[in-house]
Parts: sequence; structure tokens; C-alpha cells
Amino acid sequence: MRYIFGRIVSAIFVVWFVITLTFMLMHAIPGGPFSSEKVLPPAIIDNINERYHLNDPLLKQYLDYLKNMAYFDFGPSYRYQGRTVNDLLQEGFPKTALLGLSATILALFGGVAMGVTAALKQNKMLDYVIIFLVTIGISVPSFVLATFLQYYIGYELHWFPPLGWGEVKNIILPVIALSAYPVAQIARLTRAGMLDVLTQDYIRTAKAKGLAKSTIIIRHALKNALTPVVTFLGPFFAYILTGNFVIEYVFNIPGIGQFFVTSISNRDYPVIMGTTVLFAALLVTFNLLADIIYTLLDPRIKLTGREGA
Amino acid sequence: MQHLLEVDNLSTSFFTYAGEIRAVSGVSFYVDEGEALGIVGESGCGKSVTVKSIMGLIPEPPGKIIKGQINFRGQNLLALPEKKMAALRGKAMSMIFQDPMTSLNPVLTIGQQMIEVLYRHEGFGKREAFARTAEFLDMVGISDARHCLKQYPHEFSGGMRQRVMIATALLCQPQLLIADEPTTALDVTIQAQILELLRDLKKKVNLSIILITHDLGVVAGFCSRVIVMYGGRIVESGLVQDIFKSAQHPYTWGLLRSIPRLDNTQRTRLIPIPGTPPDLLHPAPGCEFAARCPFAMNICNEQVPVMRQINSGHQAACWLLHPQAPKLNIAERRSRYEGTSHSGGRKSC
Amino acid sequence: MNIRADSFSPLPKDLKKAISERSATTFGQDAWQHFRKNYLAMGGLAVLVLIMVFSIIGPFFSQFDYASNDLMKTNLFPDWIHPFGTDELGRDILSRTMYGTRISLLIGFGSVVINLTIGIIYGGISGYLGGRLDNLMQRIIDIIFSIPDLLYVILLMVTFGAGIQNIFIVLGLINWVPMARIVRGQVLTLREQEFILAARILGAGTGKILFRHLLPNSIGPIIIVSALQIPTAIFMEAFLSFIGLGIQAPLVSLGSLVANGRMNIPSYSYALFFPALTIALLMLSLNFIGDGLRDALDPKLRR
Ligand SMILES: Nc1ncnc2c1ncn2[C@@H]1O[C@H](COP(=O)(O)OP(=O)(O)OP(=O)(O)O)[C@@H](O)[C@H]1O
Ligand code: SF4
Ligand SMILES: [Mg+2]
Repeated sequence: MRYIFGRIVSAIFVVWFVITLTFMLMHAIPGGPFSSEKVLPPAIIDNINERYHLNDPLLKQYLDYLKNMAYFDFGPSYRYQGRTVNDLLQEGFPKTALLGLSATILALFGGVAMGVTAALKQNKMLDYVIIFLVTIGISVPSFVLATFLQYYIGYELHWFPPLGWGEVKNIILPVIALSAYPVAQIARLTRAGMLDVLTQDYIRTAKAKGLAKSTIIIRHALKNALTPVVTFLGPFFAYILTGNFVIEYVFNIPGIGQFFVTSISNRDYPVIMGTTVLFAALLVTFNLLADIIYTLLDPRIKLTGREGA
Repeated sequence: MQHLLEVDNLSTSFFTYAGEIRAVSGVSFYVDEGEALGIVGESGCGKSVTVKSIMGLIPEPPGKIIKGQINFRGQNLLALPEKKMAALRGKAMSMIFQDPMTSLNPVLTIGQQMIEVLYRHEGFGKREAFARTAEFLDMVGISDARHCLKQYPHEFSGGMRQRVMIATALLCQPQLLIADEPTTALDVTIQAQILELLRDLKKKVNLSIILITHDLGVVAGFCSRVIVMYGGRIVESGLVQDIFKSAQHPYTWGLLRSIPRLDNTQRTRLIPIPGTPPDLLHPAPGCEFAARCPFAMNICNEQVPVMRQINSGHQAACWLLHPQAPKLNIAERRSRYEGTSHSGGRKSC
Repeated sequence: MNIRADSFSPLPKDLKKAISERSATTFGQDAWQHFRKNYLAMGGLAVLVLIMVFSIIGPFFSQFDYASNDLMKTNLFPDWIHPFGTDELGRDILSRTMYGTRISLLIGFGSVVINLTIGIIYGGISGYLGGRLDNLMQRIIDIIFSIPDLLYVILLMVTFGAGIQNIFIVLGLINWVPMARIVRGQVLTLREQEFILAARILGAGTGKILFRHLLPNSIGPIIIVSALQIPTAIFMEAFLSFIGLGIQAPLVSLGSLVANGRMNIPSYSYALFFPALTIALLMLSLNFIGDGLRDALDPKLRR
């Protein structure tokens, strides 16, 4: 319990750090958020600054911002007149969540299945094929893969729509593009973990007990082999979240990621800040979850603290 | 009479990038029902590989049993398909290992790891399996079975874990138990307890045991026959009295240096023999021991010595036993070894 | 059995020595030999060298410049004059790809040099001095680590503005963290070892000990991390350029080329294909090399 409590405190601290950092960075931009506008009459700029409280002292702005963040109020968007960042995030979140969840499921099951298969067929043809796919998945940047899929599968072969959102078939290509990297990483970790576990003494014991091969693999090896995969879950969530930016952008899916990328080119700072903070909060939550899963998998680690992690 | 286990001319190699490692070459021996056989020899001489070959536990690749026969209850194990082999393991023959710390699966409870054997081999129901497990835990000196079964291995001490390993190995009442250095990883008092336990069990159930150890004292008190291995071969074998009283092989002499008499009750460990252990990657043309043997002759470096019968049940493979070889008396044996013993050897156990 | 007269006379001492030394070879394989046997890594090295030659020397043989356009020749299909075709402004895609690869390589290797410097100093100080300072420095690293690099990189680029200089600065500011961790870990394990103690007793100063003893001993892990960070940096730059935060026109990078090629979809796919293929090959070869180095240099992985 103490351990979990400590973890929650440090998670809150991380989120605070990100809020402060985004605030400082956004206010450090020379000329303020509206500088990229076409030259506006000074009176109008003043007017805008007034509306967005940009003339208040910095400390007051910071404290206001912190307070709003605590209520998950990210303020108005600079670009979309009359809409708040919350509106935008709420609108985008279901799409992003669906995409991320599908990719997560595919990555976990596909990656573990591929990794176990490769390990059991070590140095056979199937192993090499999987290693090859894994290397491609790790090496080819997601936006390149996304663009390729969009072009060849979408535009050329017409198997799936290259753009858009709304139907089941729309989600196939984005999910493949988004999960390629985590599938590959998880497969790689599972394979390595499995090969390592298979040389352990307790596997030899299990064999000496005459257990069936399937029992040895599923009951004795897999659970141990998945430990390194669980430690990858943190970076994995981070990847799914950031990977979404460019995937949604490429496939024109109106999720949070696309808002984020367009708000970057629009210099829509409240959206950038809000999204960043939301992602940071999601991420520390997921990391906490990953830690808890870790303790469930391995009885040696109690929630009071980690043994030699 | 047919032996329970008969190993004939067994050779096992590992094929690594560096080349073929001849871990075991041409080993033959037998074990009778109710008998305890000891295997001694320094680290890396192929003891574990020999018994793993019997159990069908050689990882393949890189390992491979190149030739030989292993007959267990008249059945050639090397010809058995893996499925049949698995049905024998843990049922008709069991094995316990050197390191009880790593030999149990850390993420399964003791109960899960014991009961699964009974499910597998005896088709027991839950209640039956539980009763048998509790009975055997009790037999190895763990009384609070109900509680223990729910615990994880890391909550147990080394000695307790080895007891669990032994109980698990005996659950299906096997005819042969292979104990590969069962006490090496434990501290001295626990070692004594575990050995006492094994001795008891041997008496209680009609069990054949192959005991691998570095500890000659253990062999003397536990086994009726001994095999001495060096560089993947058997260099001498015989009854315990033969080996302790009238050993014929210089390597055995080296092992025995610290044990002057059989009736010595003090437990003694192998003290190292100077020189490096043999390189199994590049087998010697003659006797593997020649580089370290104080009695080595020209022929030792040219031809592998053949196994010679000394009396019924006692054999050794050494050129000194050749009729034309010079005869050595006891004093000479000892003095030559003393001469080499200061050059600083490797720790072997 | 063939027995001579002297068969049973004692074996000469020197011969005995020769027998016992017959073994002392084989295990002295060093890292390069190990690396050389790794076909994937060697293949990666070959491809990397080819890409380097292509991008560094290639432009000298090209009659086109990455920025000069020819509005009479827009969107040409690949032919002998323009092997990769031309883009919507009539620029030669081959020379643009070569220049883009140059920039990617420059960023990859350049930013790793920066990371190396910061990481070694930070990790070295943190590990060597230990105590409270180490604790504090580790907390800072933990905080930075708990948020994905890409998010920081984007935020900083938004603040600093796009451009190649800022990419260097931002990647340098962020990517040193793994390096610092590795160096600290190495320093911690090495610090306790005897030869360091000996050096200290002999009166060597802290800085001297760090650079004379600790770093040479940590070189393996440092090389491994560096090798795997080069593709990370290249990826980040390409990503930034892809979303318009990176390299600005008229300069080109592989990321901005892919982004540009995407605009021409679905009519002129080769404007996408060649830059995308180059970046995929580059990443693939760097990853293979990195894995190969890790296998060769990390004794734990050698079996
Ligand atoms: N999986 C393996 N791969 C390659 N070589 C192996 C393998 N297992 C054993 N060997 C080799 O076989 C030889 C004999 O090993 P073995 O384990 O039988 O020794 P041992 O007599 O049991 O020694 P110890 O007393 O240390 O247990 C060793 O030299 C080792 O190098
Ligand atoms: S054969 Fe020769 S070298 Fe080998 S043990 Fe006998 S005397 Fe020594
Ligand atoms: Mg052994």
C-alpha cells in the first residue's frame, strides 16, 4: 500500500512537472502566441491578449493555469473560435482511444504469439521469417509504413479505404501501421525471454518430471518469459500515444493526435498544452498499471517495494 | 541376471561454434535394483551429461548422443520416442539437481509443482493427489504440508527446497533416482541432513540411486560401487572397498590423497590435482590425464589406454597396468604426487 | 596396439607442457571476430557504407541541385536523366534524396556526439560522486524518463521554432538520458573494483580516474547505446520534418521528402517511394549494426 501511495505521489509530481514545463515553454516563445499572424493592428492584438488573459502577470497566469488544470479545464482554443480545448479533446478522445486499444490488443496478442513461435522454432525457417518481420517493424518509421500502406493497399489495391473514419474497414490500416512497432518489440522481447527461460533450471526440472511439452511451455515458461514484456508496457503505452499523432494525421482521423499535429502548425498553444498534459496524465496512469501487473505476475515482488528490479 | 539400468558405450557431444565438445566418450556401466552407485570426478568431466543422457534431458541442439545404448528394465531408451520417454521420466526414474534455489519455478506454488506430477503420471484426482503429496512431504520431514503447498519457492530455505525436490521426485515411486550433486549448494549441516534423508529413503523404499558427488566421504558411506570419471571417460570403477583400498589409476590416487584409510569417519573433500582440466574440444591422442599425470610415459601420449579387469567388478584404464610397464610401490606413488602438489592447482569443487 | 622399446619410459617434461598448452587457443575471439560472423550486422554495415557513399559522394556526380527547379519538367516519371523522377516543382528527386540522406546522417551522428558528451559528464559525475547529489540527479532523470522523448522534442521544437540548428539543440537536450544512465551504472560497478582503489591510493585525482580508468572500461556499453541512438535521432528528425517542425525548405531531409511525396499521392508515387525506401534501408542497416555490436560487445549475450 505504501508503495502504491508513493507511486501515486510521484506520478502527480511528474504531471505537475509537465504542466509547468509546457507553461514555461509556451510563454518563452518570442512574441507570444499570435506573432505568426499576418500583421494585425496593435489595438486588435491588445484586444486578443486581453481576452486570453495574456496581459496578466506571469505568476498569476501560471497559478490560474494550474488551477484550471486541476479541474481538467484546458481553456479556449486560439484557433477554433468559440470552442474550448476540452471540446476538442472530448470529440477526439473516443477515436484515439479506439485506435489505441485496438493496436494494444493486436500488439500484445500478435507480439506474444510471434515471439513464442519464433523461440520454439529457434533457428528454423519460421524463426527467421519472424525475425525478419520484427526487424522491419522496428526499423521502418511508423509514418513511412503508414504512408506506404495508405498508398499501396489503399490507393492502388483498394483493399481498404486510404483515408477517413467511421466504418470498421477504416480502422484496419491505421491499426496495422500503429501496432507494427510494438508488435515487433513485444515479439522480440518475448522471443528473447522465452529462449532465456527455456535454459533455466526449473524448466529442466519440469522436463525431468516428465511433463508434456505443452504444459512446460504454457505453465512453466510463458509466465516467466513475459516479465520483460511487462517492463516494456510503459514505453509501449508511450509509443501508442505518440504514435497516434502521425497515424491520425496521415489517415485523416479526427482524433486527439490529429488535433495535436494541426495545432502545432497552427500555433494553437492551448491545444498543444492541453494535449501534452492529458498525455502525460494518461501515461503515468498506465505506468502505474503496468507496475501493478508486474507485481501480479511475479510473486517474489511485493507491492511494498521492488526486489532488484 | 538383468541389470535395472545398463549403459553401454555411451558417447555424447555438444556441437558448438568452437567445435565438437566430447563431453562423454564411450562410457559403460550398470546399476542393479536397490543399489547405490556413486560417480565422482572433477568439474566438467561429464558426470551430469552422462546422467542427463540417461534421462533424455540433453538439449538438442547443441547436444547429441552419438552412439551407445541405454537399457532401462530391458528397454533401449535411446530408441524410445520422446512421448514414451516423457512418460518414464518422473514416474519410473526421477532426478534431483544440484541447485535447489533455481530448480523450482519461482512463479508457481510448491503445491502446483508437486501435484502436477501426479496428475500427469498417475491420473489422480485432486483429493488423492493432495493426500499423497502431504504424505511424501511428511516423509521428507516437512510436516505442515497444508501450509507449505500454498507457498512459493522463494519463501523456503535451500534445504527445504531440496526436500521438496526429493519428495517430488519420489511421488510416483520410481525405481531409479538420480541425484546430481544434491548437497553441493547447501551448507554443511543441511548437507548431512539431506544425505541422512536419502539414506533413510533408500532403506524404506526399494530404490536404486545414482549419486553424483565431489565428496568422497559421501561415496564411502552411501554407495556400494563407484565410478571415477575423467575427461568424459570412465578411468576406474569398482566396489567401494576396491577403490579405497587398492585403486589402480593415478587419477584416483590423486583424488584419494587426502583419504588414507577407508575407516576414517572424517568427511573429506577432493583436494585439487595440479594442472588444468582436459580440453574436451581437442581430445588428446592418448590418455587425457597425461598432461597432469606424474607417472606419464611415452605411450600415454600416443594411445588411449584400454580398460583392464583387475578383479571381478574392478577395472581401470591406465598404461601402468600393462604387463610391460614398470611396477610402482606405494611409497613411490605417494612421493611422486607430493612432488607435484605444490605447483598450485585449480579449485575443482 | 603398437609398442616400441621406449613406450614405457617416462614422458619428457617439455612434451608434457606442450600437451597441456594445446588447449590455450579458441576462446580469445575478440569482438570484431564476433561481429564479423554476424551476417546481418555485416550486411547492415555494407548497406550503410553504400548509403554514405551515395549521399556524400553522389551529389558531386549529379548535374542537378536539390533546390533548383525546372517548371518545364514537373512530375517526371523516372528515366535516365532523372533516375528517381522529378517532383511537382521539377526538382530532381535523386539529388534531393542524396542531400536529404546527408542531413539525416549528419543529424544521426552529430546528435549522438552531443548526447555522448552530456551523458558521460552527467552520468560520470552522478555515479562517481554518489550520495545526495547522485540521488537528486537520478530523480531528474526519472522525471525526464517518465514522459516520452517525442513529446518533449515536439514541445521544444514548437518553442524554439523549426530549423536544423534547433533540431540539434533539442535532440541534444533530450537524448542524453539513456547514455547518462548507462555511464552511471558502469561507473557505479567499476568504482568498487580494485584497480580504481589502487589508483586512488596512488593519489590520482577524480577527473583523472574518470577519464583514465572508468571510461575506457565502459566503452563497450557506451558504443552499444550510441549505435542504437543514431537511428533514434534520425527517426526523430524525420518525424519532425514529416509534421513540418523540422528541416525547413529549401533544405531537405528524408522526413520532409516523404511528407512531400505524400502530397503527390495518388498520382506520382515515386516521389514517395525512393525517399521512403532510403530511410527504411538506413534504419534497417543501423539497427542491424547496433544489434550486432551489442552481441559482440556484451559478454553476457555471448553463449
Ligand atoms: N549445453 C551444453 N553446451 C555445450 N557444452 C556443454 C553443455 N552442457 C555440458 N557441456 C560440456 O560438457 C562437459 C561436461 O559437463 P558436465 O556438466 O557433465 O560436467 P560435470 O562433471 O557435471 O561437472 P560439475 O561437477 O561442474 O557439475 C563440460 O565441459 C561442458 O563444457
Ligand atoms: S595412462 Fe599414463 S598418463 Fe594416463 S593415467 Fe595411466 S600412467 Fe598416467
Ligand atoms: Mg554437473
